[in-house]
Amino acid sequence: MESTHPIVEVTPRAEQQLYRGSKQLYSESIEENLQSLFQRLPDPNLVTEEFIIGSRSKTKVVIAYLQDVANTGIVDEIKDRLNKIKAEVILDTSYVERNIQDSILSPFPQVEIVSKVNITLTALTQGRVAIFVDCCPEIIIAPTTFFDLLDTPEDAYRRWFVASSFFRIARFISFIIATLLPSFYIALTSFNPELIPSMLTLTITAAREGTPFPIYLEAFILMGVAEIVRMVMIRMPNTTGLAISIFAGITLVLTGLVTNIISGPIIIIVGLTIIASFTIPGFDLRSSIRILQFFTMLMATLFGLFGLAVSFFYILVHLSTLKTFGIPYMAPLGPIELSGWGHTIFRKTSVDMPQDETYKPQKK
Amino acid sequence: MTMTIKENVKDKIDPRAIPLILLLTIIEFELFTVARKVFLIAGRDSWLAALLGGIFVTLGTYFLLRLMNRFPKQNFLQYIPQIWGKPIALIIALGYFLFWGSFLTLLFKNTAEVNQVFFLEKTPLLIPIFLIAIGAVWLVTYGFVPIIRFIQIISPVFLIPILLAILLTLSEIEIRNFFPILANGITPVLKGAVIYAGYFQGLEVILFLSPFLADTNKAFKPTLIGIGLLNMLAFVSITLVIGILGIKNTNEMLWPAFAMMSIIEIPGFPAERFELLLTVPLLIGVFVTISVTLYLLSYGIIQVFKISHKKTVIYVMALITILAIMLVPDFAWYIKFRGIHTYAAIIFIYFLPISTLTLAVLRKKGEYL
Repeated sequence: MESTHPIVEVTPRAEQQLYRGSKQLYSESIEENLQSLFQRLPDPNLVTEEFIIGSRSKTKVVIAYLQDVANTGIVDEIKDRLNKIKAEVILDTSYVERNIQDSILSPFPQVEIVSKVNITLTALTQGRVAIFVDCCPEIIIAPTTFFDLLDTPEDAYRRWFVASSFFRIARFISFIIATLLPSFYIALTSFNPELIPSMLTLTITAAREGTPFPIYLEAFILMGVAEIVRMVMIRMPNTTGLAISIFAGITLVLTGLVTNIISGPIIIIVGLTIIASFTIPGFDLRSSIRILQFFTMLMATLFGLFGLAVSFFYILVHLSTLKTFGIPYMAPLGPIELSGWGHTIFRKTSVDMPQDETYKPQKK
Repeated sequence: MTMTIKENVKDKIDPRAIPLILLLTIIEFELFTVARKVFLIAGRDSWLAALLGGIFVTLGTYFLLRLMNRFPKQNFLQYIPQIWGKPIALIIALGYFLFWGSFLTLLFKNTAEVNQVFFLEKTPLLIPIFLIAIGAVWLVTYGFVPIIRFIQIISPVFLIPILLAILLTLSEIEIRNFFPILANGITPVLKGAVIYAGYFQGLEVILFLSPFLADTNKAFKPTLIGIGLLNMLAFVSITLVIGILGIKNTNEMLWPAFAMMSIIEIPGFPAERFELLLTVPLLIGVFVTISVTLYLLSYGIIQVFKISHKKTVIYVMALITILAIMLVPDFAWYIKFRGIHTYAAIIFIYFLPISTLTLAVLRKKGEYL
């Protein structure tokens, strides 16, 4: 493909705030997107293969990978799954995604949806495959592990690796808070208050005096309200949506507190949970976490700390059995591959972009 | 040439994962809440029994590894017919199935009891058991490698609270609780050491690892490190319990380790009740042990009787072992049965595999002739 001047426009689509790194986004033309890719990575090993998918729409789908780095088994599997797509129309990358992923029932995304060229380059050098769909401003990166989804470009661009590692770990902790905090609160306060420090128990009891609902109902109502406010924020036009959601949120919380319908501690818990969930970079993963929150809350409501532990086991059982194009979803933590920790769990200090062995061809 | 994903992305276990596998598979209620019977027999010299028992366990592990290395591509149930002959091998296999089945029933029973003591007082016993069993069955249907992945993922949540608990309790030890040493002679210590070795139920998993390992020759060191860590952990917890509670109090308590945690006080620290630190790893240890034992039992039956409906066997085995709880009338009976099971464990973990190794060497079976 010929390399010409960049013709890809940089459109501000505020999905993530970026402090460093290229802001170049993909356009809706597959030719332009591939052109910008070849411009940034003029490597003879960069290979593209074209597919026509959709019996009616005849949509052009192109896969790109570095043939000296990518695992041939994974590439062949992706090609095979693309060839098997029977859809009539391909309107978006999501149509391809749901047809090629390993588990459609899983709440966890098994491919990464990317709109920036620089992220694609990193993925290709890791040995992953980029899938371009015509008329879509996002591309698919496959395979994708859990840790890829919690990765942000700044982790690689930040000057000091210690800060990057710190913020990564903080993100994992936020993930755990977002999934388990409300259920932990319900379990402790409703079933095992003896495990809470006595001063804190007294504070919670005092704050809850006169409130009509049991703790679990308070938690469910407030989490539900938070979801409604969040949906308003997304659906309404930018400034209006923001103003309405902030106004609605503050009014509801204040009125609830003043009229003693809800207690203070649950507002702290729900607030912390919602904030923590926004630290998760991917939209799809974030949405799944919200559903998992309700699942863990339900288990904690029914069976207390034991139910919480069991729901945690269920989530982990699912994560340990899930694979993405043959790669274990929790690699490099399960199975432990220490060589991959430098750019997944931590960020190691190195002049080059840290690499791992997760997606590379394996030694026979 | 087109390669399938299975040919290209191999699902093998790195031998370096073995220490974690052993830690989480072997630790469950008894060893975790500190082996009660060892205390009853060896008294305040239980720490000596643990040291001596640790040597027995390490020796036993060495022989298990030798046996595994002779048959690197097969598991124990696959190669015993070559060594013992088909009829005896079948009897041995049935013995193991009974051993694992009864162990599972004991584990389920204990899950229910612990749950009643610590979490859900009024909930019917079968509910927590089924909740745990659903997770275990789900994991086991995917085979052995996902179980190992589960162990690796959950290991930080398991290890960090245990290490914290040890660090918090270390300063509370009173040395006088250990004296006089060997007041009742060496015999109780020796008996305690044998019982201690019997508590390592799950050690036989080594004999089933080899087909999944990326390199069986590299399994020696990590396995011995794993057993060393496990012995150290058991020794530290036994020492802590005696050092903090004293042998008299320990023998009167059903859950000495939890009693030990309740006495911790840290001035200025917001948390007061540290039992929670131990309940998390306890549940994890139990869940993993149940999953691994259910795997050994179901896949053993599938393999020996060449059954094609794998999932059905797993469901049926889980159900039978759960329903067998009805045969356990009360907790006192449970403790008695658990004691007998510990003696049986010595036969199934050490005696039978070592006899198999001896016979394999004599009959020149296996790769290392």
